[in-house]
Amino acid sequence: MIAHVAAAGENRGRIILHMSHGRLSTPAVDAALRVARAFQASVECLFVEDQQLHDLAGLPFTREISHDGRVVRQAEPAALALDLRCDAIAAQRLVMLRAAAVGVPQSGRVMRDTPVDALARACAEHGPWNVIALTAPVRADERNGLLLCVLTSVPGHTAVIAVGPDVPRQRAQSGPVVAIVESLDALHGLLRTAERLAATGDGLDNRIVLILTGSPDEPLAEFEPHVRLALAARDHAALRRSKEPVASVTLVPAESIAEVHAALAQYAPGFLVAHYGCTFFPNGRDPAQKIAALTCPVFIVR
Amino acid sequence: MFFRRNQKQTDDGNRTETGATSPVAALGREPGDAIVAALPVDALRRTVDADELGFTSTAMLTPLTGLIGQDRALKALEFGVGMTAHDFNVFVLGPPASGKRTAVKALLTEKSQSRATPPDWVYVTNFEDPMRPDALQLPHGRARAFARGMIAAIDELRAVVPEVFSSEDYHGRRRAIDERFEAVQSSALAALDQKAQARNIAIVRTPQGFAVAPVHDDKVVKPETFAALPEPMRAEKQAQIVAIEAELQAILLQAPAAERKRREALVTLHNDLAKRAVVAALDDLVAGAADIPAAMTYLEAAGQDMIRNIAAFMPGDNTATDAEPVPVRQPADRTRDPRLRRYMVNVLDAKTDVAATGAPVIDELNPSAGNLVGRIEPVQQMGNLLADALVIKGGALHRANGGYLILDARWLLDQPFAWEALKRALKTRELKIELPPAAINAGVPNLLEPQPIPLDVKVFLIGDREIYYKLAAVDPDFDGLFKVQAEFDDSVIRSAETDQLFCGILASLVAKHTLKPVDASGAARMIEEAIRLAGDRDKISIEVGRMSDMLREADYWAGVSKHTTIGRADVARAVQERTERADRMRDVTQEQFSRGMILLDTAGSKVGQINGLSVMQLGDFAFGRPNRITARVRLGSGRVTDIEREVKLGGPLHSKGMLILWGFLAGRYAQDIPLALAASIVFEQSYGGVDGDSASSAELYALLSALADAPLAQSLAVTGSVNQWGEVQAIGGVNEKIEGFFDVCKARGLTGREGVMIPQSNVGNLMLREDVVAEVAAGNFRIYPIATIDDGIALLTGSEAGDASTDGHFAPDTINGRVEARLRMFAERARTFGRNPYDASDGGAAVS
Repeated sequence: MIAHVAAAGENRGRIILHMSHGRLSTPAVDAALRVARAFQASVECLFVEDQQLHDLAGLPFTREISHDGRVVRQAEPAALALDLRCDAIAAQRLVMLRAAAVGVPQSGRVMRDTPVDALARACAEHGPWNVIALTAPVRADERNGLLLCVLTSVPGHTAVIAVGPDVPRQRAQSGPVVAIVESLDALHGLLRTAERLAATGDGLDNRIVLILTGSPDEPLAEFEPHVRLALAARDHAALRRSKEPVASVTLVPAESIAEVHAALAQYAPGFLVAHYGCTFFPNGRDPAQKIAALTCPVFIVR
Repeated sequence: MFFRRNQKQTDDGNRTETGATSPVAALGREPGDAIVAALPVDALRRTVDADELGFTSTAMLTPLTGLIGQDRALKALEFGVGMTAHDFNVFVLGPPASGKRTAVKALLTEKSQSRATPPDWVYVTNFEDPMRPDALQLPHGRARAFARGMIAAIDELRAVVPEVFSSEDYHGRRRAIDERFEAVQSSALAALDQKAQARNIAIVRTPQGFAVAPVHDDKVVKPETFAALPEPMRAEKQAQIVAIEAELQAILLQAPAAERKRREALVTLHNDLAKRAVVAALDDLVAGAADIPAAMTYLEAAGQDMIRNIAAFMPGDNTATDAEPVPVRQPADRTRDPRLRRYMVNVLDAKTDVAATGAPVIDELNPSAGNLVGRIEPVQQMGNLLADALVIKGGALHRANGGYLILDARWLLDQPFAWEALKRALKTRELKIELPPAAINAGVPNLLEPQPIPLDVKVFLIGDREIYYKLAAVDPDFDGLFKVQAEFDDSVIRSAETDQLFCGILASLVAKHTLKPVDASGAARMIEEAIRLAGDRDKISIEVGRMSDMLREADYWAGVSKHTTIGRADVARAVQERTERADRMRDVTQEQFSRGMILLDTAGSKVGQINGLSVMQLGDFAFGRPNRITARVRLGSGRVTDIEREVKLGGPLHSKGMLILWGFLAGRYAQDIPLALAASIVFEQSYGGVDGDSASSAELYALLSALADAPLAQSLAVTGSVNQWGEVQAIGGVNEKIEGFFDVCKARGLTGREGVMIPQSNVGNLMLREDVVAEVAAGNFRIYPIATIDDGIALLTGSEAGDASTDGHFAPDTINGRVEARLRMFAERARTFGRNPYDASDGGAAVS
């Protein structure tokens, strides 16, 4: 959605915040709220009770072993339901407080299903303009995990927000918004998205950095001049329209993935925006490892 | 003071009287005839010759802020300043508005320059016991820089620490630690997971930990499906699951130890990074405080604490729980963040001006207990009281530490607990800030116990004599703490030199209040007013406050008159206008005399009736008021009834005067007979209290008149007290009394016979109004100096008073002879009756 909404100049959309039992990353929540503020979107907290857990608790012999291995108890459906309900309430309350603090409307609900199916159902209920935000941090050792499943198997969403385990809480609010652009077609939507996100930086940092990678269809040497021309035209139009300077945009050409990494290290982004299917996040590949290595939230546009 | 002119003393100590030098000049005159020489005009008012002042305008003079003729007080002040002992504090006493405070301040300011500038004091957090903040002594002028340095260090850490802990370097090292400790468990779990998967078993994360369950097609087998399996298969699967669970539990049990080691490694990493940041942030401060061991010790402790609490420097919600809704980074106010307040330095209101030199001179105008010894002012934060080193507020004693503190005694004593707090500080020689007793009584918890600060201060307490003597009488600590008494006079002997100094003070008042310059005539008039204020023609008042008021009013009237300088007329108008503003009561009184509501004769003569004089004081304004005094006599048992006392309107001094009067009568006329007299004396139409003995001579004249049946001149008014020998003694307020009678007579029209009899010893106090002096000069009014009752009665009756012969008796045709005869008649009648019929009915409660 959002990149599409941004490209269309609209102010609508919905963010589905996926939550489950287990760790909930507050930087992920903050990143989702920042996107919601940027696009005046609402947030739906979707707590998914994995059906498999209920199946497991229904088995007569299954036991739960605590994280430190010291407590072992019989898994019971009622106890499990209560634990999940408590987790859901705690997670939704956290989101509710943080959303209220920044004036983002939110709602919450609980679904019992597999995560992918639950997200697919939620997206289908509200049309195509959805962004899915994963609140569990993406781990480097995760292979074919939820992120890849969402990107490849959940219809009805336009982007995914994900964070790695090492994102400092304040990072989602500071640092420039960096977008990886590899085609002139993608420039418009990504730049609009970056602008909106940069505008929600609360004045701490509203820079935009465009990392131009080019693609086999549009080599960087051909593509970069067109980007510069497009930016100049944009600045001129904006200046004529509002007589106010637009956010400063820095162009960083990157011939290779290594140069992209170097640019990311240099500019320490507060938010990274990229297309799923670009050279950095190739189609069909799990982006978890790269996201886990980053110290900022990532906005992956489908 | 004794007047021996008309008396000689016998061997037995009693006095007899001779008339050899009586000033009574003639007999057979009318009462009030001038048989006593009236005072010449130049004795009535001391005028100052403007030409003799030697300047034309105060603009030519050097302003003077010091004192005039207060040598004794100055010597005492010098002594007090010079004595370094802590208990030789100074009590400066004297009348209000006499320039004590200004003089003390000027002297101390001068003396302070030669003393060493005391060190600064700051309060800092005691990291071992935050409830007991430490007091830190720093060299003069270094406190503010030290405090600023700590703030700079805090700011630097707030900027640097987030960067450090979000850097790739940190995350890389942290990941390495995590991976190092997680790898063991992770690999074990991964191996177990693989092993389980091979048996179609999955290890599943649950809200409370892990569970092991059979799977089919990567999904947990549903209970009904599992129940449908054959029993042997179910049993085998359960056995496999139990085995996997056991292995899983064994792996998980190793987690706490590994986690502990991981945490230790992380703490080491954090400390290393934090130490680097903290050392760099405090580097400048450490270099600057290298010569101050106490500061170095504090910085060491602060640095250690910063490293331990490095998370305090992370912005926003870094240390907050996940439930706190602070997604937006806000610039934090250091003073509102208790984590950062602990590193801030509280500079007491001390000598922080680097350029200031010498000892401080502090003049505390609001000496409440808190303002004196400092106070603790906890701040409200999120509904809680926050108390730390920053909420300690220094007091005047902190600011004056190492120097001088000036306090007004009355203001000090008006403040609850302030006097006790000051004494405690002076006695213990240390400044201990604590909750006031009232707060403790109210149940306020004592949140802080700041470390006491050594106190070295000299206190100058300024007050009046009443307070001084009261404190000395009721407070046993007072004498021990205030051993130096510097007493200021309200007036000094007048001389050409004091006139010049007085004019110098006028010049300083002109400069201070930005007034018009005072020309010589104005200055002369101001001096005259100061003389009148002093109540003595040979003295000059140095009540600077009153002079200042007068001068500012004169400046106003000069402005109204469009004068460029303040002249004689302006000062005179200021005096007149001031009097008019305040004299409504006098006008009311004068109106009552004019309309005959208050009976007062100013012409003719009456037996047993005389015009006495009293003074009414209304704030700063005083005016004289004549009173008719009457006396009636009859046969009695020797008592005089003081009607004022009977109705409790007479004060003790008035009663004393009456008793003296009675002693005079008995001693002079009843040496060999019983005093079979009953008399009543009253202030007619007096409805308020009467005190003082200044009317005792008038009362005696009335009594003698009644006894001798000799009419008294009503054109004269009388003031003066009398002693048992018949000598007329000085009284106060002589000018106001004369002017009071003058105003009544003037209103009725002066005939030239009106006048006032005053004690001869009061002649030196005369400083009459210019209009009174003018009428005297015109011969329309007279002032008679009276030394004895005989002089007075002769003037009042126009008859000779009469001298005692060698046998002690008076000639029968004199006033005294007639009095004696009347008393003898009373005594004879009493004897004739054989008993005294008046024992129970001659006056009730009498003064005798």
